[in-house]
Amino acid sequence: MLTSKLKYIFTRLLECLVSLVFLSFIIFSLLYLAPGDPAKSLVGVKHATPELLAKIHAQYHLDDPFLSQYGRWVKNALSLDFGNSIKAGYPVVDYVAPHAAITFELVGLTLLLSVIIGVWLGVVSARNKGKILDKAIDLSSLAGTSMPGFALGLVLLYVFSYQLGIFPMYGIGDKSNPLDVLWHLTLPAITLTIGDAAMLIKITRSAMLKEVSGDYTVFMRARALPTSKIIRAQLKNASPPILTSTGLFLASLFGANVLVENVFSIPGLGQLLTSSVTFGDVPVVQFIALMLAVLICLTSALVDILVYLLNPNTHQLSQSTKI
Amino acid sequence: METLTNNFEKKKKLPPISIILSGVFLLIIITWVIFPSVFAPNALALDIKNTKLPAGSEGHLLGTDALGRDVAKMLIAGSSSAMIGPVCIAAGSLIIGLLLGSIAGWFGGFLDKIISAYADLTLSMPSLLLAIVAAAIIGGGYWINVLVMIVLYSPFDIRLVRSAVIQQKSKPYIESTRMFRLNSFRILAVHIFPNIAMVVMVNFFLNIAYGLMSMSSLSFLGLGVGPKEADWGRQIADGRELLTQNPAVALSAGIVIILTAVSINLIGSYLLERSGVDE
Amino acid sequence: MSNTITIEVNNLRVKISGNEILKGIDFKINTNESIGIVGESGSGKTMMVRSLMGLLPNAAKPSGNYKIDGQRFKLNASEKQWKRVRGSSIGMVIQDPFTALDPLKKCGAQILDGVPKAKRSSFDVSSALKEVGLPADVAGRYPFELSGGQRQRVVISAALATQPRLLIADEATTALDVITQKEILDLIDTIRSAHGMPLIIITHNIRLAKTRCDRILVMDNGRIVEQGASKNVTEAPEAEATKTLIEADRFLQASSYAEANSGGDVLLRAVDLNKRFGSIAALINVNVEVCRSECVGIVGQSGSGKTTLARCLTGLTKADSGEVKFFGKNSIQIVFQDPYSSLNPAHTIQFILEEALKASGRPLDELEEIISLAEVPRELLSRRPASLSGGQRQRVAIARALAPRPDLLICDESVSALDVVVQNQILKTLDKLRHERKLAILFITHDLSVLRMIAGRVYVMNHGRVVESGTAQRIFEAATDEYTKALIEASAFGSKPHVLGELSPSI
Repeated sequence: MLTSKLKYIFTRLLECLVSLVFLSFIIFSLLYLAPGDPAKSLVGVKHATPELLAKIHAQYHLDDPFLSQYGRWVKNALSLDFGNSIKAGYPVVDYVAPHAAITFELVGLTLLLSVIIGVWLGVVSARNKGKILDKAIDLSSLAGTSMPGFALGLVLLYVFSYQLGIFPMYGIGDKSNPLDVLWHLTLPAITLTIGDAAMLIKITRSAMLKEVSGDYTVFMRARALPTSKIIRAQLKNASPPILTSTGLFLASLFGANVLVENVFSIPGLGQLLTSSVTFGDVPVVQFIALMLAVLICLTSALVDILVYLLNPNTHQLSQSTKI
Repeated sequence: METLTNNFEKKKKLPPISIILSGVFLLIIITWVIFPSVFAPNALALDIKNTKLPAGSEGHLLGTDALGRDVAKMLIAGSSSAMIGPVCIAAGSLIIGLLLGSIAGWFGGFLDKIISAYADLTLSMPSLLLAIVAAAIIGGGYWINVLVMIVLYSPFDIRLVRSAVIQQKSKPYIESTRMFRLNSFRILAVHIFPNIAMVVMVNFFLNIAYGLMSMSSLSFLGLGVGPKEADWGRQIADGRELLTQNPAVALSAGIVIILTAVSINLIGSYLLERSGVDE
Repeated sequence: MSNTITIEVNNLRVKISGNEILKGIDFKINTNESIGIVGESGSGKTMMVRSLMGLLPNAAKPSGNYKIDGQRFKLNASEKQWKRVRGSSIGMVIQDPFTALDPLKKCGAQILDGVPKAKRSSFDVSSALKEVGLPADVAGRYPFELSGGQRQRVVISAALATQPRLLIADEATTALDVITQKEILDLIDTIRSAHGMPLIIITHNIRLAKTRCDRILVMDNGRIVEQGASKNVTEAPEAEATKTLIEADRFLQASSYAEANSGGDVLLRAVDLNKRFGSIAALINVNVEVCRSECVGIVGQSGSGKTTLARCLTGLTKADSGEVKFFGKNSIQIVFQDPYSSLNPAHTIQFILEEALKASGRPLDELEEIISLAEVPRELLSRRPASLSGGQRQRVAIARALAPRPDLLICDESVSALDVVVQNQILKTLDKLRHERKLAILFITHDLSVLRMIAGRVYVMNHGRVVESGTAQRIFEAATDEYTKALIEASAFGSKPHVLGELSPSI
């Protein structure tokens, strides 16, 4: 039993590694997909003298075969060496880190809020199926999923910051004061949460509906078990789709985050990514892309493993298939 | 087994008020798309003397923007770039989805493995991020964004069609066609597609809403239409700077995007619910 | 424990969005008797007992006078108020043991969950399991590790753990195979006498109610149409609904066997068929023979390999080894089990039948012939399957199968999803086809009583093997194989308990 568990975890992590190799290859190729000489992308077009270009070619081994360049890039990446940012002129990792910290804080806050709100409202909605409350939650979650973050963010910014003055307008405030930063991140997090929680409500509701009308629920009610116990059992049974989609939302959250950061002028990864993309700061783009790819692949692997471990059936069947 | 929840509510009813309102709103948007010059002639005309007029100014219901263009007219003119691209995205994604999805679902085996692996990998990636990176590398632009979006949207359609086909494949009425030795093409075209058409069409419809959200997001980031053109996403980006002088620039576009997407989604999920009941 | 519960309900009505499902029911229990509530599906029997426990669907609106032990109780009470009735006063065992338990929780914990708080510390799970005939180690297992019969025992144990004074069994054995059904009913009987409590059995099977209950209530269309002692109701029925239920039960009626004409030309011969799915052997050296215009039955429980056999004979599945020889001029056709999915919902009946004719190279004017043979009413032609009843759909499926003028028709559980009255009509049609069209029929079913009506010869399958074969008369009256005997005894619901444990498949 233990070995079959380990085997699953191992295969799932291996799968994760394979996708990462594939993705890293694509991310590395970014440099070559951009039109023109990659050396130009690396120094920036403005000060590209032939001598400099030759120097860059030598420094980055740009004349080596493609695969050996890829190998060198991966080797460096493993020791967190992604070269220098073209725009900033110093190591990419040092350049990106402070931006990443802000974004991770914002995304983390959003994830926390949306899991709490989404799962809670999803459960309430499923348990009151067909009633006014359910219809209201259903309608608002549908509206929530159809609001693009930047449009919604702007409306919220106008109403709550500009008109009502409840929240700060732009930026992240005083960087040395974590509470002030958190306060500045609250409205952006709410903006992101509305879309994210709305999707979680939908998923939780439909997963819970199966459980609420299920026979074991009726049987638990027929035995007068406490409601809290019934909800816990239902939620546990409904958890696979909820967990899986929470994992998937993390990926889409980074996308929505780019827009929301732009609306609220938050100097996070999103702004850095868009500005680096327009500036052609390829090493920075590669690093951000790889970091997110690792994060997303690992999250989805961990979620799958968690779902697997939650269900006693999957790992015990393999040892008792003698039937 | 005795069914406790029979379909007693199966009577034909008028659609709920929210659906009717959504329908009316979408009709307005569609007429804007088809006849932009009737509702908003010379929408792009600059008026350097009357820039940044607040909403409610004379002759300008929603005021003017930084270049003195009438915001209401811009909104109407922007409807075509807001809707046409998404319709193309949904259609392109639908065609790829039907083609690859039915191949994967019907024939199974190695082809299915490859197509599914591709779809799964793409789906697990943040599409908007990929679109931003791709747009920047290939150079951006409206129609390039449409193509990128078709590539990024189609995996979902592939999976949808694939699982619908697989679900149909095991039904006895499809098995019975094998007893009559019908060929694969006829089985797919005559026996499977009519049964999955509704789901696929509703998804096509919903994709328009998501396409609108994605395309306007890219425009908002400056990766879509050119700077002088009318576009809702673009308008929000421009209006963000004018929030103190004329908030209507950004707000009107934001609200129209939200209302359009909400309307499409409402009608789509209503149709989906209806099709589920009728089955 | 002889504190008898009294339950009384008057003028019980239940409405769901304007439709009245229960139309004024009066019902009383004040002795430790066993009551059978019998009716076809949709008659309202489940609704009725669920309203006594407050377990109606959200949309249902109940009304009426309800008294427990003489005390008034509101039928629209809150979830909290119902908790006083559920479990401690009334316990319920529900239909499907495969879904009645929480799949993620061990059985012991689930039984313990319902035990009243005050008694939890002294409650002994292993003796509770012993009472329902399960070993103590079941407590540490998850439901998926148990067979259907074992799960139903856990469900019963969990229902008893709340220490109810009345037990309701809602179609508690319908989802189980006949042998396990009998064991579970015996167990419920034993428990009832040990606990000295009244029992309500809800069933669509009037024979089951007759052998197990003191009193029978017959329900039809939301009303109680007849009630009385079991013997009186079954032997001198008055209401139409009761008569229909009895007529539908073939074992209550003595009938003759279909003729066995195995002496004729061999039409199909399958020799030494073997088929494995992974580690499971679905067919082991199976030999089957069907002669022209003969009806052959294949009977076995689910998992016995009978459906795999049907698919191998038609070529839908390829056997691993062995051969199928078909000596007919035309094809083999098959009619599937589920009438709700055997017709394409997107097309009209006419389209479906015409396509079958076209595909088999027959002229379209044969449409008239096949619909009259299968007794499909003409007016159905322009309709789509969704608006047809189960029986009508199955007739269309038969008509479609007749299009290529097959020599052999395989019916894979073709009537199992229909109610008994319609089953009988379809079986009559098939029998007529056999005579008029010289059509051979291979009928596959888990229901022996169906075979008794139409099959001349029978093969009994168990675990992928044919364990016995012979004429229907010989099999039914002088079976030699233990498994066959058990199957026959169980489906006739003999009242005498019999040890069958080692024979039931352990899945």
